[in-house]
Parts: sequence; C-alpha cells; structure tokens
Amino acid sequence: MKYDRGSHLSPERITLSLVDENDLDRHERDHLVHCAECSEARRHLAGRLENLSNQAARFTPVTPFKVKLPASEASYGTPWTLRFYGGLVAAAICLVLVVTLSWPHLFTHNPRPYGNVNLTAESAADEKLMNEVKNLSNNSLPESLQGIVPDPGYRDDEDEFQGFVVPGDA
Amino acid sequence: MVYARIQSKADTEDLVQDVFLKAYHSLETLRNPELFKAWLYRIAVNKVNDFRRRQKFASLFSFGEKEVDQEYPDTSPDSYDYLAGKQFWQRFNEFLRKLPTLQQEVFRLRFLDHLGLQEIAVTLGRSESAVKTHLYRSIEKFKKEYPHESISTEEAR
Repeated sequence: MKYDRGSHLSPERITLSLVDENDLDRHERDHLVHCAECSEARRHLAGRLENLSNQAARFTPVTPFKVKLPASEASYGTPWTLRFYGGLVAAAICLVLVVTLSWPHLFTHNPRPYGNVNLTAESAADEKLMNEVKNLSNNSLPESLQGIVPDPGYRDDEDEFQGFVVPGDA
Repeated sequence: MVYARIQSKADTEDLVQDVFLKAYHSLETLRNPELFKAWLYRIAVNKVNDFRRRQKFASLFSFGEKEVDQEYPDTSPDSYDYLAGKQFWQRFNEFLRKLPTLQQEVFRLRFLDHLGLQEIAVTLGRSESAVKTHLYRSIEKFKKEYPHESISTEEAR
C-alpha cells in the first residue's frame, strides 16, 4: 500500500517506518513528521515495543556473575606466525645436528665392501699367494739352501743310501 | 540476552561462561573490531541453539520425568515480581512460538538486545534487506498477536 498524497500512511507503512525510516520516500517521511494521526500511530506502536523491551529487561534477573577465563594464557595466545617460525627454526637445528653427527661416517664407512678397489687388491694378493705356492711346489728348499748342488760324479743309488743309513752287516 | 532465550538462571550462567570462553579462544578470528558486539552475539546465539538442541535430544530420553518449571527468578523475595515475571515470559514465549525461527531471532535481537540492523545481519549471517523483511513481518505479527493489555509492572503498581 503506497502513500497517496493527502491521505494518511497505511499501518504497513507505519510498521516500515519503524524498521527503517529510510525505506519511506521523502513525502511519506514529511507526512509522518507533520501528521498528528500518523505520528501518533507510530508512537503508539513504538511504545508497545519499548514496553515489551523494558519488561524483558525488568524480568531478567541480574546476578553477580564472573566469567572465569584461563589465567595461564595470554589474551591472544601465541600468534600462529610465531609458532610456525619457531617450528621452522627447531627443524633447521635438528637437521644441522643430524648432518654434523653423521658427516664423518659418510666418508669413513664404505657402504660397498666389495667395490672395484677391493676386488682388484684382493685378486692381486691371491695371485701373489698362488705364485708362492707354485714356487714351493717346484722347489721346497729355502732360498739359502738352493745354492747346494750334487757332486758331478754322484750316482743316485737308493740301496747304497739305505745301507749307509742303516748298516746291517756291521 | 541468554536469559531471554532460555529463562533458566543456572543454565544462563553456564552458557555465558561458555560464550566468553569461546570468544576468548577465538579472538584471533575477529577481523573487524567494530563488529565485536555482533560477533559476540553470534557466538551466543550459536551456543543457545546448541543448548536447545541438546535439551531437545535429552528430553527424548526423559520418560516420565516431570519437566522442570522455568525458573524466574530462582529465589525472589517479592512474590509479585515472581508472578509478573513468569507471566510475562510465558506470554512472550507464546507469541514467539507463532513466528518462524528466523523472525523470532530477529525480533529478539532488535527489541530485547537492541542491536542495529547491520549488527543483526552480521549476527545471523544474513543480508540487511533480509533482516528488514523478517523484522517487518515480526512487527506485523506483534501488532496482531501480542496482547494490548501488556502494561508494565511499574504502571500496574
């Protein structure tokens, strides 16, 4: 129901003026100010609402009541940025510690015991040992005795040798 | 504000404690300090709604138990105040029950808590124009449904 110039505001427009007076157009607002009947209707409705509001306040008990807040914390707590960067610094310190403690092991401890270097060295040692064995099997005398050679007229007679070692007839 | 919604002194104290504790812990989320009041009311409205939901759920299991009478005031020396208060809240709740939930909330926030339109909009997470519409409808219902003879106790005396 829109306002018709010369007539009073409708009850709905009066209600609307209580919700937000700016929703009325300029003529309606002027009328509301100058018309005794409309301003009385508005005042009456506003009074009823105010009365309700006053009664609600009156019948709401006021008791001394203190809200208990945790005293140990700061009012804003720790800001998230501080927590984030604190965590970042702690992580960096841990990383440095781990690297420092494990650094020497990274170079002294060979993770590949059968690497190329070891295999070559081992095969060289094996070859040397096999040469020694071969030499011994060819000539078991120590090197110092190898210069002793038999007499040129020596005849290898086993029986004579046995007779020499175990004299029988004597 | 809380009492006007649940009309129980003990529960009001518990809820107010909860509201302030929640506000204290989530103060960082308050982006616009100018809207602190609306922000606090929003927490309160949510807490009251949670409380009501819990109460409703609990009532499902309270077979045969006598419903506790709404307390107003718990121990009043003045019997007139006690009766007038009880009568007032009964009448008011009866009227509110005739409104949709959102209109109830808008009406309470405007006339019991004296919040502005913008504050109500922030509290309920609605647009200002939606708040105006709900407020308009609730006042229209108030005009028709709320008894005219509700004179203040001061006048009655």
